[in-house]
Amino acid sequence: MADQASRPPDTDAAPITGSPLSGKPPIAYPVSIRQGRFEEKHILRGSFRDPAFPGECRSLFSVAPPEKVGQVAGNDRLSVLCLGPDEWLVVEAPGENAITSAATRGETRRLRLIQVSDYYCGIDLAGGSASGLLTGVVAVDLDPSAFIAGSCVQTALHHVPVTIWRQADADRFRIYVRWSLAEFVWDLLADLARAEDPRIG
Amino acid sequence: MRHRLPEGGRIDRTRPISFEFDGRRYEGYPGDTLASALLANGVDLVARSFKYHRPRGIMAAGLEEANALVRHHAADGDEPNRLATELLLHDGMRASSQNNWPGLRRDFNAVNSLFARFMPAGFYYKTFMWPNGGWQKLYEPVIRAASGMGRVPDTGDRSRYDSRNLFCDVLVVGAGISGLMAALGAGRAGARVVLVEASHEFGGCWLDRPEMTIGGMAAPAWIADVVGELESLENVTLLARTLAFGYYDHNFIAASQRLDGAVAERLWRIRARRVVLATGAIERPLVFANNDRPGVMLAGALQTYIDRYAVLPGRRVVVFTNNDTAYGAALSARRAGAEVAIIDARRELPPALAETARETGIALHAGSAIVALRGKHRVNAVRLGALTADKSAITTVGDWLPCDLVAMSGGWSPAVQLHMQARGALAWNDRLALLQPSAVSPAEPHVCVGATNGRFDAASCLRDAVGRIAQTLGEIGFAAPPLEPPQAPDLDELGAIEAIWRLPALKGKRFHEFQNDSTAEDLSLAVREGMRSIEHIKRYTTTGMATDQGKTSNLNGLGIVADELGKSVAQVGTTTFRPPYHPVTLGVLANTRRGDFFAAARKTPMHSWHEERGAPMEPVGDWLRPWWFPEDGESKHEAVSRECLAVRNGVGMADASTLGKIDIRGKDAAEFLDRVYTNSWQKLKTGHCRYGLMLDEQGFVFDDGVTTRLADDHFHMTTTSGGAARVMTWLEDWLQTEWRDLDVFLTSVTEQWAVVQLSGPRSREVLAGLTDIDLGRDAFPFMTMREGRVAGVDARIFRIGFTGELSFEINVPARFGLHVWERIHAAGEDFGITPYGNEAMHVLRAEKGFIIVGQDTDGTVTPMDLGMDWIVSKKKPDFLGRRSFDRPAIRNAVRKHLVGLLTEDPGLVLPDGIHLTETRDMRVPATAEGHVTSSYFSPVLGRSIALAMVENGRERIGRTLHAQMLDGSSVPVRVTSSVFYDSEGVRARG
Amino acid sequence: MLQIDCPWCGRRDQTEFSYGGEAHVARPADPLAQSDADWGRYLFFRANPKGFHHERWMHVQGCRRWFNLMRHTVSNEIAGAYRPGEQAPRTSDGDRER
Repeated sequence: MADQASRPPDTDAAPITGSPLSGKPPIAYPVSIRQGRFEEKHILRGSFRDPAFPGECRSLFSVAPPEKVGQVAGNDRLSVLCLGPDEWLVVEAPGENAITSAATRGETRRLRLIQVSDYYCGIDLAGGSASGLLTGVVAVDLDPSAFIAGSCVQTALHHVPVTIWRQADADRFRIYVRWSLAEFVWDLLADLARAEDPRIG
Repeated sequence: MRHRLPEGGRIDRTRPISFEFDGRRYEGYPGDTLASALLANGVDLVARSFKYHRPRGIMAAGLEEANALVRHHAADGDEPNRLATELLLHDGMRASSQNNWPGLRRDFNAVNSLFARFMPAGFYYKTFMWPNGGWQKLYEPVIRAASGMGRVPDTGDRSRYDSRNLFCDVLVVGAGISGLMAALGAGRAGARVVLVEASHEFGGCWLDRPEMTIGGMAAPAWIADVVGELESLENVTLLARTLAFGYYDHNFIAASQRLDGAVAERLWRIRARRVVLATGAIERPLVFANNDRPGVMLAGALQTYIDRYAVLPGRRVVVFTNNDTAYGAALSARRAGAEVAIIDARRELPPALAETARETGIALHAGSAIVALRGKHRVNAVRLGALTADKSAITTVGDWLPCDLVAMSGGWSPAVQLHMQARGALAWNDRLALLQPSAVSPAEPHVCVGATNGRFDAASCLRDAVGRIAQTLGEIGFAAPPLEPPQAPDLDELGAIEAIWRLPALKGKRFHEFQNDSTAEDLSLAVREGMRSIEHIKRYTTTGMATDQGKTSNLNGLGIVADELGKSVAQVGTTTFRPPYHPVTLGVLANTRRGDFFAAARKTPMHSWHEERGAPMEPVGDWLRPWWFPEDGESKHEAVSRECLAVRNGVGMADASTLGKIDIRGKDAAEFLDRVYTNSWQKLKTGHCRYGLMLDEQGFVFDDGVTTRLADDHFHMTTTSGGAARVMTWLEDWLQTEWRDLDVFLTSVTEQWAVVQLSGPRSREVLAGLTDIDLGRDAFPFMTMREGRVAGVDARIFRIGFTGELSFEINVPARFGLHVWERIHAAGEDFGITPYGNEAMHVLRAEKGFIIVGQDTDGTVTPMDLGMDWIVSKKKPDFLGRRSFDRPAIRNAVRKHLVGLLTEDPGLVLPDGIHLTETRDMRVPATAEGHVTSSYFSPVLGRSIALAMVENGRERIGRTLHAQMLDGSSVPVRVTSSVFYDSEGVRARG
Repeated sequence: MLQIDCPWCGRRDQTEFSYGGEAHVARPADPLAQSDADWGRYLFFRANPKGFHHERWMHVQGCRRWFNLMRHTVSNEIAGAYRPGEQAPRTSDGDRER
């Protein structure tokens, strides 16, 4: 789906951004399935054994990286998802690119930040039936007491590795899937939604 | 419906429905099964047995049915081997009998019965041995045509299946009164409860007992109350028509649910902290003469047909039993208006029941057995005999007693299959003549309640359920719920059972296992032939196999074997029950992993462009890569040739996005690379690239790729497309477990970057117009990297390639991949830019002797075998795989080397994998001197080339070997260097 | 299907993990000084107990961490998961192997 690039025009025409989900119409019923908007993303690597690490993160993100896998910390400009004991996914809100800009200016040298804005694509699932739809393809306990709102899990969705971020509204899920498999995951979810309600074309 | 009773039953008489069986139309009611409706219509003959093709009727009322396997003509496709007792009748249902030709009544293969004495258990181990050739022409085709049960459908299965994952605190399997009680307890305690029930109604056998009271109400009303409360609890999930068929590790239970909507069947994958098995008990037949005839059924089944379906399948009923439960069936039949006689093998009859029976006009025969049975297509008479005290023989024989229905009961076996699948142990209960659950494995914590636990009176079942659920809840941190076992009858329904595994017979086969046609005589034969272990006896006689899995036959079989061996049943032991408990469709096991969703295909950002060009796709690992780009009706060969020549003479472009890319950061990054690659990395300059070979600890090549230094503590590693995940796992293993002190972080960036490979003498000219980077030969040397902009996008360009020509590998963020690809293509039009696919890429690299790991190597190839001694550092003291070079099999042995081959006939392309011999004529056994690993037609050379691994190959360059072709001919080939083109390697450095 | 406790992500299905063979097989500190027999032992010889087995698993569909597990090879009972460098948990009868 063509989108305006967030880059200044060049001697060449402005570059056109692509998406693995171009042309996929959003689904509204019984579950809402929509493409996530483009977000600047980085993988942060580092260790709490380094005493300077939390401070450096706070000064760049204004948020300390969560210590436990699955926890998410954030503000309205960015979120930090803990994927592993030394690995976080830093997601800037759509339209924000403060971290990328800081990286370009060389201000993030003290932190290990790896650009993955394109690596992960977001698919948003919402609605009362969202959880039920996911139980068909995800084998972690999705009960709100087990997978609490505002946390994330890395798991397999029909054998495709994904990161699922349950939003503050427990019926909303952001699914991050690698570019190459985004279309497959979308088609699968759409097919399952359609089976629930054949009104969807 | 001549056998339908005028009133009663859980059927809806207001809506008669019609159905078809073997082409004839009948009527039934909602609530009927196919079996009850057939019996109501007086249809006794429904099947032919597996081996002997004996006429068979319906012998049970539930999933323990062993005879009535029919072909269901469902809307979405035929379903063979469905049990008539499990098919819920619906309007327009069509079904056919199986295993007969041309018809059920006059089955040709019934002739097998005449040869029965030559076809005992295991006869096929002793026959069909001669002549040898007889197998292919005669025996196999005939046996294949005659064997099996049911026919595979001709059309595909159009049904839709899906699956659900479910987590809970307590899973209760079985919704009879014990299961309902347990579920209620767990539900009231606030636990997450799932209750699964195979039939479409909850309540079990007590649904048919309105005369029994529980908690002061009629049993069905009490059941409705409990179900109502369970339905109201948010923490309770009720699943009807859901059969738990497998109990796996750590309380993982698989259950299959039949549905009526868009989805035909659903697989429930349930993970429970605790499991309650309330699966009930299954009635056993008695093993007597001709007990398999139509009209002979289990006593409990008769009672169910009368009470639940209002069907009385006969007017003159003989009940043959060794326990009290069959008296219930006798009384039901009498109440429904039949003439009834009870043949009790015990000498002492239960006083109260016998009294009641006599009062209603039932004839009683104590200490007796059926010793002969007449009526081939339907029982018409039985002969009684008086039993000796030990029941092994007959004293006197009576007259023939006319009858049209025999209801038999040999006792009840708790349904412990799921318990055993969960590694639970069994203990022999002598008083009840059954195997009941004993020890439970700590890895699969569960309890058994009710009849599963050997309880045969309602009061103790309910007490059992309440007690065990309280204990279970306590184990997982829930307080016991407010729950009292309700008042219920205290009758010991089983009574003083006297086990008898087989009855003496005057004449006729005594079947203990109906589905596989296994008789008491077969078991004796197995023991006579030397089988001692019950596992051997099972396989020799096929008893307990196929869909029945010994539900009705297991214990009778064990008992007979125990008698034969002179041992107790406990000493003989039982075979292991394995999943599935009951047949499961392949469709539900596959559920959503079908068709387009069978396997995920990974696509690059430029995929749509390749598709639009009509490029056929080649699967490379999970990825789809364009194979070649056909133009104007070209053949594959023409397209590939055109592409290769374009790259060699002009400029080509390929999508190289699939290559694995790993971002390596940390102050120990170079040290890390030194350890995992064979060459040295510390001194690699920033902005420079180096090719690396990765070895396993056996010294064998398992991946390769180019790694570039981006900064002192920052590298960009590439791997093969198919090996990316494996390499990542390998590297992380060393970092996380063995070298935890290294400051190194690995992050996959394979999908962050789209990669356009621009290759050919004119590639620089194409790229120059699109970038601000100085592409000059000195400004941007071979094997270096530059950052800048391409087509308005921030990019990294690596001067590396796989074709041997001047190449630029352009990496851009994936979302700009298609844009940059299209801009390069447009810029290249004036230069005749040619997109090329995987096939051309393979040919081009082979012309240069570049290996493809996994094609030219097979996991047993060292760098030296490949002639790549230059890449093995002499200075580094150690790296992964180094020590293995000193093994005699590598250092001192004659090894295979990578070489090139040129066929004498330049047009002949050798097949991949073809073997090479020294001499032209090959006498078996021949020594293989090597094999072809890659083989192509080379457009630039105008002839065929091949790469091969040949023993001592480098010493044999110039000599001739022979390729042994698959058609038996041989082709002479000359051994050459593995580099066919530009051996100085000049063109890439341009 | 086993349920495995990843020390970081918690309890997950076996299908999220990849098995890595016997644990605590340390790479010799000086490989070049090893005899062929000893190097061969390191490469190929692994314990095959009927009982608790110390083994490695990687959470490939999750946090991608390697960790160790004590699993009973007959009953599949899992006695505990522990991180690289940590001590193995004790089994129920107090017997700690290695």
